[in-house]
Amino acid sequence: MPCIAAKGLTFKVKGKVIVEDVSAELCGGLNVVLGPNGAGKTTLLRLFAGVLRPTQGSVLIDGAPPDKVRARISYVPAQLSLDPMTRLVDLAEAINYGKDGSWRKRLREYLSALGIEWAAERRFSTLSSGEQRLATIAAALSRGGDVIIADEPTEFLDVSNRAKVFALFRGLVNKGALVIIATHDVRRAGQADRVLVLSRGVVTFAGQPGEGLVEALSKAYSVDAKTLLEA
Amino acid sequence: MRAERLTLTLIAISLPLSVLLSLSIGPYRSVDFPVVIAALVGLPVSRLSLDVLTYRAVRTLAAGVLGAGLAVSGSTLQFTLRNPLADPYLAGVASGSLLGVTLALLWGRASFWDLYAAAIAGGLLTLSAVITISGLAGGGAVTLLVVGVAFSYVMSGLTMFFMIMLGPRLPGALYWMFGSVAFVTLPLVERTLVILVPAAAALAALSRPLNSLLLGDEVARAIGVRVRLVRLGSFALASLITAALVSMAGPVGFIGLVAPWLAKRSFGVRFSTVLWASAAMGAEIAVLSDVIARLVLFPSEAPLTAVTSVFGAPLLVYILIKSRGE
Amino acid sequence: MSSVQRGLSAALVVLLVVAILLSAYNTVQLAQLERQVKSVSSSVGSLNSTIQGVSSRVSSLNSTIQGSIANVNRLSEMASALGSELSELNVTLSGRIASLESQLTQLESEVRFPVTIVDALNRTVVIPSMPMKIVTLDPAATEIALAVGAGGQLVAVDNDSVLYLPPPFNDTVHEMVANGSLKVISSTYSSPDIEQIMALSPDLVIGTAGWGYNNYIASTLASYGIPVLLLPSSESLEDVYRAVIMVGEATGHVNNAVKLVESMSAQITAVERSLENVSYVNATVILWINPTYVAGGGTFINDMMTLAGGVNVFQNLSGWPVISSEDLLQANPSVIILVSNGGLFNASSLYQWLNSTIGPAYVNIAAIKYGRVYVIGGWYESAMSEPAVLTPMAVKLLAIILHPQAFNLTSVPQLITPSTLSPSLLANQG
Repeated sequence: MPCIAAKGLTFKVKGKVIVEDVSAELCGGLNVVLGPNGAGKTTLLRLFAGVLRPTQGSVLIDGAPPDKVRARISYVPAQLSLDPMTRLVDLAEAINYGKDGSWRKRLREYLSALGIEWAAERRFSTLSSGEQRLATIAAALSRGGDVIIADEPTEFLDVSNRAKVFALFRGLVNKGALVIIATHDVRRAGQADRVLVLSRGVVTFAGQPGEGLVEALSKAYSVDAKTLLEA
Repeated sequence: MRAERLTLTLIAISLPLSVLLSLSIGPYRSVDFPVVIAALVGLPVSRLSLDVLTYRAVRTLAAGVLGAGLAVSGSTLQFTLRNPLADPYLAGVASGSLLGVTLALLWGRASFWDLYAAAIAGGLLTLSAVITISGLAGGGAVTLLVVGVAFSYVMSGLTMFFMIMLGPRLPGALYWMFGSVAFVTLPLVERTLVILVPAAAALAALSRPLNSLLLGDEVARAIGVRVRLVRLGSFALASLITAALVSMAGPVGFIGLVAPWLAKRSFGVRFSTVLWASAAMGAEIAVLSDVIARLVLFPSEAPLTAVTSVFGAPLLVYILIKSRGE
Repeated sequence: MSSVQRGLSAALVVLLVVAILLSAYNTVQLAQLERQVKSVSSSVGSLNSTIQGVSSRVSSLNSTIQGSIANVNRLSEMASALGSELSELNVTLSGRIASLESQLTQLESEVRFPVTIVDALNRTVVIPSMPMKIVTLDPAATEIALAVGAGGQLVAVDNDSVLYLPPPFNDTVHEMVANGSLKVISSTYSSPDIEQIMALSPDLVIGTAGWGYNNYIASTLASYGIPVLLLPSSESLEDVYRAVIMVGEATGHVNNAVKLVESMSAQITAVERSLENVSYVNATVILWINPTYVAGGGTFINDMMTLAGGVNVFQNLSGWPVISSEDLLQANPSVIILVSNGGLFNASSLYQWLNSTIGPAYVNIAAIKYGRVYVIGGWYESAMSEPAVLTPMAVKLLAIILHPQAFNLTSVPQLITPSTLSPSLLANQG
């Protein structure tokens, strides 16, 4: 089981603080990061994946910084702006930089797990937003890493597809992977092993889903608990 | 897959056909298709026919090299700058070459090789300046684009400034204003290939990291691509190719923009494939354009750039419309 | 038979014998021709005159015999038949002599070939034997080639040479094109075509360096073994002389070339002599109006102006600078010479441009104040703008405009064309 350890993680851009003093240790399991828009979820995930370097503090994956263990990390970005003629396989090939050709097999597996095997050779821009999301997930997962960091993986997805994605992640966790997801989908929080609530760059809750979670969430989202649960 | 195979077959058939066509067409009508076949098969033909055929062959070769090179440069820039509208002249290399030639003419140089050297020097200096300044300003894709375009305008402006002083020596510079393969000699092609082949090989070696740039700088960095190095390096190599080609035959537009598009349409966005596919398509477009240039105003010749622009622009619009519709 | 008839028969027999003997003699001589060409030529010449004398004596003898004596008629018929046979023989012989003479000239020149010339771009051009299929690429080259006598060796000229040569060269070119002995290739300025030139299999191509695409044509053709001679693009009179000598050497007419250069420089010297005591006049030559181009320093026209006793008010600007009306006002030339560009411009075009930019102040320009604005048209324009064989004429033209009194003229017309100012005035008087 891979462990990711963040200590005093801070990220500033031109003096503006995006993420402040985040410390957490996540070992295996399905970890969900919640928080309103602008809370810093994307930045936090990027820091975990090694896409950004922290201004202060450190991130270690099993004791090593992310850029030393790139091969183990599968990062699913929230958005991709691609050349209109990029095909799904091209995206997957590009993501698998530095890896051997076994990604093709893994890609096919994940594509069928998500029900979009037919999209393999298709142009990314011809897929619907939901299908694009699924495709990006499958492409990132084809890296075959055991540390999966996904930013808004269920955006644009309908209910059944959301379920599929979470089932996929759960399956990976069962095989010993560490999965960290940032999402707005508050209701999925119940299925997580651990939840982090981020509000204005600061972790306001870290632990298993339960009572304290609802409170923390209502504070973070500035709505009352009832509205939150009904949403 | 079917589309890919179809395209491959099409290229494999049409390239040799275009070459044959190019050898058979020209103002000296006595050297026509039967003569070409006779010469290729080894039957004796007159000395004059051989000379004319050699001339046409060198021309065709030059067009092929030109088209392939521009396509390689254009593809590279489109990948490295993540901009499907990038073309080989982004770094201001063509304007720099023209400025070099204008200055050389002003300083009394007139022989072709002197001017050729000045063209290359002008292009390389401009390229170095663009890379250095962009590098200092961060080396991002947008920076390169903006600095390149800015230099392009500066060089053009300076050139206009100096050209007025040229007076009757102006025609000497025309060669580098209107691209043409009519005067390319074999030694010239050889010199160009000396630059082109290693540069293209280097780009081929950079295929994988260059390809991964399509994910965006941040994700690319996350998966281990040395983004700045790859971007600046590929930009430099692509513009080097452009400089060599502009010095050989003057600026010829559109091929560097259209060939990569066509390749991507048929084979997807995968640099190692697009590299050679666009080269083959670019070579073919160039050879056919040269044939059209010789036919359109027969027996006079139209400038090559005019043909590629007039036929290239509608083609580009067509591609755009077709891809948006999907 | 009477003694007259006997005499006549004897004369005829003698004539026949002489003729036959002489024919035999000449035939033998022809076989040994290389050493005896000159003597054959003079022998035939004297034979010819002898025969003519005899033939005319026979005719006069014939006319004194009155009456219709059959013998006399037969005699006269035989005499005229003989006369015509002899003149045919003469014609054949003269023709053979002429072709032998040209072969001799060729032999003479072949003694000079192969020729190695270093041309205007420092390229070494080797011409292995006397070129008989010459292609010229621009009007200046055509003009010089014709002037040194290589017209018969030309096989094609460029389109601009057909359009823009001054007389007498344009007539020569038009004639040769009309009778098919000269082909026309497309202009090397606007639409150069390598294949057209190659198709003519030329053994020499002559063009002015830097004109149109000539330089590129030269480097391309060179790789097919075709010698291309690039003439210096004239920025001074010396360049023209060099070009003439180069063409003379290349085409096997060195003597003519040297004579041409001598005559050209003699014409210039004559002009100089006429200008011995005049003082220099400030002048400018305007080549185009709006944008207004003038001839600056270091140009050919500048040189010509100096030789013609003028000072170019714009000589501190080099090349072909564009000037504003203010510049003209400031420079204040005493004489303005405008090139009409085929009738496109005249004096009023100049005044209009000046008026629209600096208003009525323009009348203060000395040349305008004193009515010394001249427009050059007709083929005089080519002579002015194309530095070649007719340059001395152009220099004299300029000298006449600037200093008419030095040439015993009271005034010069404002519009100067071959019809208003006769070319004979510009002709050479050594």
